[in-house]
Amino acid sequence: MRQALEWIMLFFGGVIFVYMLIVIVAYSLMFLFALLELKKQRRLDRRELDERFVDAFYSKPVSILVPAYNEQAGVVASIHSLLNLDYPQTELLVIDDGSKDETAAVVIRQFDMEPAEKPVMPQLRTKPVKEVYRSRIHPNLWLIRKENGGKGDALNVGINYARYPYFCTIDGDSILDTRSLLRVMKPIMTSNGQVVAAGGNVRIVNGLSVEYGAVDDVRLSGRALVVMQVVEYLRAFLMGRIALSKFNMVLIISGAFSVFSKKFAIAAGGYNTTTIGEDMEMVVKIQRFLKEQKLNNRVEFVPDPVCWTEAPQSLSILRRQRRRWHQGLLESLWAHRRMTFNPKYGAVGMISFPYFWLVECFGPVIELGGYLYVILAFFLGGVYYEYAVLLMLLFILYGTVFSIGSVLLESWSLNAFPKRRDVLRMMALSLTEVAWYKPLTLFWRIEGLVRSMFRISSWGEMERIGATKGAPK
Amino acid sequence: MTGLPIGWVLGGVVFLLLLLAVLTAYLFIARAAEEKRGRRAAAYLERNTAAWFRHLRGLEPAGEELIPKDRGEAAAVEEVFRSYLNNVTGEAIRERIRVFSNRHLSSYYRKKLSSRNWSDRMNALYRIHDFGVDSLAEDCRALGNREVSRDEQFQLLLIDLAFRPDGFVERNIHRNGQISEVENKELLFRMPEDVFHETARRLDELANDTKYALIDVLGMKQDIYWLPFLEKQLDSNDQELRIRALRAIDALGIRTPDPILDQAVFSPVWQERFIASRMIRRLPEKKALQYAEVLAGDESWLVREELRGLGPALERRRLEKEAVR
Repeated sequence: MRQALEWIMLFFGGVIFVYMLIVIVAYSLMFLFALLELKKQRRLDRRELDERFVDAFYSKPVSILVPAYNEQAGVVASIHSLLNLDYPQTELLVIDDGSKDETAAVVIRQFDMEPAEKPVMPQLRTKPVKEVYRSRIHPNLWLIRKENGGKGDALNVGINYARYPYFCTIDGDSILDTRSLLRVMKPIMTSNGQVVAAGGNVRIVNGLSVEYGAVDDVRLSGRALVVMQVVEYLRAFLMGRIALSKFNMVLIISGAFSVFSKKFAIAAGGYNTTTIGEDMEMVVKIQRFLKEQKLNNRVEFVPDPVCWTEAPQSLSILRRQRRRWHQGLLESLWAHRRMTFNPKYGAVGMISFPYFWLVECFGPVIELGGYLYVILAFFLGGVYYEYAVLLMLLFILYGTVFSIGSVLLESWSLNAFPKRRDVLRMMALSLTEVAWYKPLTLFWRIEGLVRSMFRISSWGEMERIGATKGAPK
Repeated sequence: MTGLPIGWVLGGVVFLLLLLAVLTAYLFIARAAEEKRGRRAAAYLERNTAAWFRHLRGLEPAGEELIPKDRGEAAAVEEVFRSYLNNVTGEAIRERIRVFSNRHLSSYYRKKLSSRNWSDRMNALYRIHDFGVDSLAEDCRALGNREVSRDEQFQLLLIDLAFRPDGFVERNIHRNGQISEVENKELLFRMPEDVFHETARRLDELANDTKYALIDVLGMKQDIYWLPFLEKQLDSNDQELRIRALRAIDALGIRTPDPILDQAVFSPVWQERFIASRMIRRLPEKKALQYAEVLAGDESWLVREELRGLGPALERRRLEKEAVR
């Protein structure tokens, strides 16, 4: 009995140890690539490029799609921010996905809208559209009311109604910096159409001062839970996506702020209306389409353009969000499982998919197993005590060190939080991540895995704080 | 002991945490230095904004106090120049900026041109072009002979065009496939008339992206002078070129000659019929409706949609025809 237990402990200890080493090596490489890329661009005066592309002659028109479901607290500020974008030619389509609250009424009232007709090219099947409104104040602002069908369905309606060859998706509660669209469109404009999708950097708006759609003072939230998410976003966006983008291996660009070529999005079948993570699903479908058609087009992540979005402020809502994200991840990976280790899909199949399966999808199971192992090993004492210490150190290495590294990398290259006190707070909280935030999120992600088996889904409703002045309540 | 590398891992973690602590200190020191530079720039601007106004308006020569003494002050001068160039037009102001930059900023930019940092080189290239620092033309040419990024390549082309328009086409025609279509458009737009004409004359030697960009720019220029040239492109074997030429003719904003319209309305290519459906709006109603009748049943949704506005007039015409019968 004792020997069997020893054998089991040794086996699982070994598995967890090897997993940790793989993750640490992968993260180190990604960190290095991100560092080199950000170092290259760090001192660039981006205003020059902005000024060039702000001229309609050199830019491409974009349809901005804002799917909204029960977003009455944040939708007006979001629309204001989009109307204030420095971009020469856009149309703004707010798609109300059968909200139960006053989302549509608030938009109609605030922007003086009237019923209107808009040409529609029904290339994707969707739930029926009920009404279309157009603003009398801003003729390029439209509201499309439709039956509830989920975010993917709302975006498909937007694509059908979109007039321009590129569309940008923005969440109903998100706020864009005025030059974000210009910057995210830059790789598309300068690549002769080689780049078919691009995503920007998403940051957390909680705690910031926002007035009529513009962030006017960047301050860190006072809540530890929000600060941890800020750090998490920095790590995910700066470290992970820059490296994957460099080798055209991106599988996720955030639905909160991304641009797609309409032609390619439709060719890939549009948004999936049955999966939860429609943003990841769309990118995977495009990558799959490109590889199957043997096309050399790219999907890129652009670190500089920033989209601000609300983060959950309570544990229960964060838990729901993380469960949902993980369900979406597993569903997409499972739907396209034949791409895994399939050389036909190039680096996406040979590197991205295995990485996402191992680290992003099943990583939580192994990592939470690691936590349990540490606890058990402490009780067993003796040789296991050393295993426990070793694993704890590896947890610190890959959790804390990379988190602090990401905070420093961001501060050095993009400097979104200029106050030293904010940087120090983020670093201090990163030191505590392993003790509370990490295990919680691991647990919720495993819940997501389990829920995937039962295909339990929802729009992922979140109580909006309406982090903005000037937004009607 | 089990031989687990705990000591090593512990050492590694401690080392990394110490390294991060050192990097944090470095970051804060660097940031403090940057803030100091910012304060120096602000102080320079406060001292000299009025003097710059008087100098750039030609009211007084540039005094010693305007010459930047460090990076912070150089950045302040750049802001002054950028502000005037973006907001105030005038050859005299541009010339004074050029003279001052050549005299007092060229060594600063020369140093940046040889920097190993891509951002520094790019910023220098932007300024050299914007401020007209032609004394660095030779340095830019030398940089162009090295392996440079596509962004640098494009900026170097803009600089070459600005400083040495004579022979620009001959010197660079072999490079025209190296930049994107949007960059080609910008380059073509910035060309003096004679250089542009020479480029158009050598259309057949251009890479496809440059050809397409040139045709698009002709449409944007809306100059009727180019109509025969565009008409000639409609006979090209390159379908994309034909579509773009037709679009450029549409962009000229004139009534399209009948032979062109006939060809477009009955084209097997939907994009050409789509442009035709836009062109017919500039015809007299009777003529427009004749064409619209042909296109109303088009297989392409976009063509039919473009004609939607003509729907009531088409219906009226159908009823009139029936009445005559």
